[in-house]
This record gives sequence, C-alpha cells and structure tokens, in this order.
Amino acid sequence: MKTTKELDQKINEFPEHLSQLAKFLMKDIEGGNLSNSQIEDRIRQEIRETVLGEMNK
Amino acid sequence: MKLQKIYMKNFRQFYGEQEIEFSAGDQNVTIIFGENGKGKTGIFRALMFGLYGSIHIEQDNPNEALHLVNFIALEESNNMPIEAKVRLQFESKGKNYELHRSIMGVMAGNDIKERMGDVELYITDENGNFSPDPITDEFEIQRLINDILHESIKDFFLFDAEKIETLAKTDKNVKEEVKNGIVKLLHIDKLESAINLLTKLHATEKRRLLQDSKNLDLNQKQNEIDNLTNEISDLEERISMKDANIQACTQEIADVEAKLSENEDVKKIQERYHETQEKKTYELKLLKAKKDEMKNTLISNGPNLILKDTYYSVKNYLDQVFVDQKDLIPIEVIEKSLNEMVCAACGTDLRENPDHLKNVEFLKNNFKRSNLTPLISLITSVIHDYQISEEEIIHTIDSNLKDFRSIKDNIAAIDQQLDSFQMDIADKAQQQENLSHLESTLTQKKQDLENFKVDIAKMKDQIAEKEKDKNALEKEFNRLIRQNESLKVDAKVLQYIDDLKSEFQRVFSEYSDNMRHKLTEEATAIFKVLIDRKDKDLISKIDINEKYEIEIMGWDQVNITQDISQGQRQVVALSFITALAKVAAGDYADISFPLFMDTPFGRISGTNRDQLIENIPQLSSQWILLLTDTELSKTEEMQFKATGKLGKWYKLDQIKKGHSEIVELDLQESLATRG
Repeated sequence: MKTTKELDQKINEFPEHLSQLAKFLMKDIEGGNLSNSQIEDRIRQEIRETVLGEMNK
Repeated sequence: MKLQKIYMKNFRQFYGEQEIEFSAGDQNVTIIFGENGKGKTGIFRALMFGLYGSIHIEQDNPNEALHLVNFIALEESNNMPIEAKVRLQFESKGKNYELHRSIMGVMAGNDIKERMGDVELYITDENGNFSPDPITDEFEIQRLINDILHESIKDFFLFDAEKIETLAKTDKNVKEEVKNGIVKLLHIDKLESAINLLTKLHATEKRRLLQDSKNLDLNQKQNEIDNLTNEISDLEERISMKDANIQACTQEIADVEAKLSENEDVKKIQERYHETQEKKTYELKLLKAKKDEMKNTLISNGPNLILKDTYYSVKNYLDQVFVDQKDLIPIEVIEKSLNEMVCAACGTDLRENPDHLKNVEFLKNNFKRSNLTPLISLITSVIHDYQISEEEIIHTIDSNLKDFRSIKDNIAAIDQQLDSFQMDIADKAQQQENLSHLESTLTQKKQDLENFKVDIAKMKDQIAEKEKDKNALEKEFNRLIRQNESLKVDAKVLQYIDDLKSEFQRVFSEYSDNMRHKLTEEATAIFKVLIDRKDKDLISKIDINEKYEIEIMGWDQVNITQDISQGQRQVVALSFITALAKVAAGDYADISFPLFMDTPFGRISGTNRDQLIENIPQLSSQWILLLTDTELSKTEEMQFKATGKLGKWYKLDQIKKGHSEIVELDLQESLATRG
C-alpha cells in the first residue's frame, strides 16, 4: 500500500543527504519483496557509498 | 477498492452457478436480503474465501468441522469429487482484478473431505492491457491482494455483526486489533520497520567495527553499554509482566465484585459505592479544572507577584529619573500646546497667560530625551497596570485557593465514605461464610494492584536513569571512534545510521501524533453525524489515545468507554472504521474501501439505523449489506429507497435445505416481510 502524502512529505524534508537514503529504505520496505537482512545489506551498502563519496570530494 | 461481482459455483448453500453484481458510483448501496439460515453468511464466506482463501471466518468455532462444497452437489456426485468455485471481480487504483479460487470435495459415506484447489489471478491494467496467462503463485497473489487490502486489517471493512460489536469493546485483543489496523493503514508500521532495521544495522556495524579495531577502550565502553542495554530490557520485560499482572488482577477484582453483588445486601452497598465513586470522579474533574485555572493565573501574573515589593521602589526611582531628565511631559504634548497656543494638559489659553506660555517654552528648551525613556515608560506603565489590578489578582488567587481546598476536602470526605462502604461490604461478607473468602481475596487483590502500580513506577524511574547513563556512554564511545584515524569511515557510517534513525524517530512521533489527532477529529465528526440526535451531546469525543486505544469521552470529558450502550458502541465502531478509511486515504482519492457488512443492525436502535442509512452512503465509496428480516422492515426499506443510493437489490430464496437461490429484484419491488 502506498504511503500517505503526508509521510512522503515528511521524508522529503529530511536533510538532503539523509532524505535520499530514507527514500531508498522506505522503497525497499514498501516493496515487500526483500527480507530484512537483504534490506539491511542494501542500505548498509548505500550508506557506505554515500560516506566514501562524501569523503573523496 | 471496489467490489464488482462475485460468482459462486456449488459453494455452501449456493447450488449450481450463481452470481451477485455489486453496485458502485452514485448508487453505491447493494442489499442482499435473506431470513436467517438462507445463506447470507455463505456470501460473506465466499468473499473471504475468494479474497484470502480463508476457510474459516472469525465467528466460527475452530473445533467444528466446516465444509464449503455444496451438500446437494456432493450427494448427487456418487462419490465423485465436486469442485466448488468462487470468482471475484474487483477494481483497485484503476486496475481490474479477477480472482478464481476453487476447493475440491468428496463424500464417502457420511464423511466429507475437502482439499484446496487452484488459484488464478487475472489483471487488466489502467490502459486495458490484459495478460491471458493468470498469476497462479499463491504467495504472489497473497502479496498483491495484501497490497490492496491487507488481510490483517480486512475485518475493519469486511465484517460480520459480531465484529462490529466487539470492535468498540475494551478488552486487550480488541485494543491490539485496533492498534494493528491504525498502524497498518496509516503506514506507521513501515516507520517502525525502518527504525528497527536501522537499530539492528547500527548494532551490526558497531560489532564489526569492534572486531576489526580490537581497541580495548572501545570494547570496554561497548561492554558497559551492552550491560546497561540488558538491564534496561530486563526492566522492560518485568514491566510488561507487571502490566499483565495488573490486567489479570483488575479482571479478578471485577469477577469477585460481581460474585459479591449476587448477595442483595452487598449489592445495595456496591451501588452506593459506585454512585459515590461517580461523585468522586466529578470532584476530581473539578479539582483538575481549578488547578488549571490556578496555573494559568500564576503563569500570567507570577513575575508581577514575585516582584511586587520591588515595584514600588523601582517606580519611585524611575519617576524621579523622568523628573531629572526633564522629560516628564512628552515633547509631543509641549509642541501641540505651543502650536495651538492652548496647554494640552490643562486647557489654559497661552495667549492670555504669558507666564504659562513662558513655562511651556522653558519646558521645550530644556527638553532632553534619553535613549532609555521608551524603556522606562514601558516599565512604569507595566507597574502601573499591575498596581491597578493587584487587588483583583490577589483576590482571585485567594478565592481559587479556597475553592481548591474545599474540593480537596470534599474528595477526602468522599474517600472516607468509600472506605466505609468497603468496610460495610467486608462486614456483610464476613457475616456470611460463603462470602468471607471472597472479601479477603478482594482486599488482597486490591493491595496487589496497588503494589504492582508502585513497582512499575519504580522500574520506570530506574529505566530513565539507566537510559541517561547509556546515552552518556554512547557519546563517549562515539568520541573515542572519531579520535581514531583508522576508523574514520566506520565512524561516519555509524553517524549516518544514527542520524537517519533519529530522523525516522522524530517523524514517527510527529506523524503518529498527527494521525491520531486526525482520527480523533474525523471519528468524532462522523459519530456526530451518525448518532441519534438525543445522544449527540452525550459523547464529546472519540479519542484515540497514545496506545492507539479507542476511548469514548463523555460531555464532561470523563472516560465513559465502559458505560455506553451496545447500540452506541456499534455506532462508535462504525464511526471509527469510516474515519480510519478516510484518514488512510488522505489526499489519494484512489484509495477507498468498500464496507461489507453481514447483519450489522441487530442492536442498533431505530433512530440510529435511520441515521446510518442516510449517512453511510455519503461517507463510504461502496456499502454492501447482508440484512435479515428484523433489520429490514418496511420503515428501513423506505429509508433506503429515499436516499436514492440503492443500486442493487437481491433476495435469497431457499428452494430446499442446502439450496438457496440469489434473486435480483427490480429496485421498485418491495422486499421487507415485516411491518
């Protein structure tokens, strides 16, 4: 089931670097196709890439 | 979601092939009328079987065997297998779905064996594209259907009469169910999942970092954090056990009191006890209101009251400053007097009084405005205002204090009365041997209840203390990893996870509070529309509290959840369900749920029925009703027809035992069999 507009809006208002990660995480949770461990692996990977990208700037 | 059509073949009483088309749009009401035993619940079963593959519905006794395949078809089959089928057509978010389910049955002697058959789902998308190959994977179908209307919340929209009665009850299971419905429909569960997932990820990342670094300081800090975490979770577990004890104890007290009330003498005292307790509730409410009033008076006048003794000397001093600055009279007044040649303060004609004119000119020439003048004016004016109202404020505080004391005295007197009733009950019980053990149990249980509450309060304090220590340790741990150059990336990753979690926690709290507030507002507004006029003012609010429980507040803001009638309870339940669907839909016009109700009017008064018939079609996208003869008299039939919302009209005819026929009627025809 689609999240409500209000919730989408609140996630959009996260600080920019966190908002992308939050959307990524919510999409995986809503999809309902992945296990919790799979989602955990994917978000871990995404955060690491964001951090490394930021440090290499 | 809109239900379009249900087709049944040899399913329950529906021998052969039969179908019902559901109405939607402007005429969104479908009524299926049938006296008891003619197959109304069979249709409800077909819907549950079709959508979720459920063989049992909530009202079934799980120990009793239940068969879905039609008996007549089985008897005629000469021991050959018979297939019962349900085909359901519905629409959701622009897509059309056709779901086929079957169950095979075979009769051997008196024994019937049934086995689930195939399931197929056909989908036509928003553009009319249709795949001829159905989805047949049960798991995938379940996922798709749950995405439209999750099985765990289906009972809020597709329900039988018993469901609606239980929904507004206050027992633990119902509370859990209501909570589940709210968190699922409003996606609060998804936020909870995100927070839990990030908490777990943080722990895993931290463990990995500790293993890699082998830093003793870090490991030691983490051990301390782990110990505190364990202690906190032990305490939480103990609190939840004590909570369960409180629930059990409260129930036991109610049971013992009920047994005691079987004795006439005790019953009379209990009645007086309850009346007195109501008085106490009222006095407590007055006390709270008075306390709030006193708090407000103190907040607005507190600073003045604290400083009042200093005010007089400050004001005298500031007045002197004005005099010294020679700007006691504002320049605007002096200039106005000179321009108009009339003293603006006393009205003296300055042309005729040259000495007065001289004085005014002197004032102008010597006028000196300090930068502090506006501030001094403000302070003196505030002090002046306070001095004017001081007497009144002190009088108000005194009288509030007197009222407060008097209410407190009343409560103390009521408590004494309550104690004396308790003692009277104990005496009566002691006089009769069969009751004496009940009385001692009651006293013991009441003491236990108090002890549990004290224990819980103590443990909550301990948790707060430990959480504080844990936070300090976490900060220290983070400081240590930031100092370590080789752990820079890991430290940053942990920081990201932590920040993300904090953001989700903040949104969780804001969003869930907001949603509860919206639900409270909507449910109350809908209730006011649905309830009988005479009961409108009885209930001021249907509140959804922090634990997501439905609480019904009376006109005087007292919680009356336990005290309302069954009929009112049903209207509360309906208001809540409709509000939940509305809040869940939010701004998305395409999210709506049908209300499918099996015999819902049983305990609802005539006037309330009229209100529901008139208003539910406006509040819900589709209303499908299975009604029995006592629910659809000529009065209700006229009401339904008068709304102009009735789109489909069916009756169930029993041809013989085990064979009911669904007959569609013209909307002009009459159905009701009772006056």
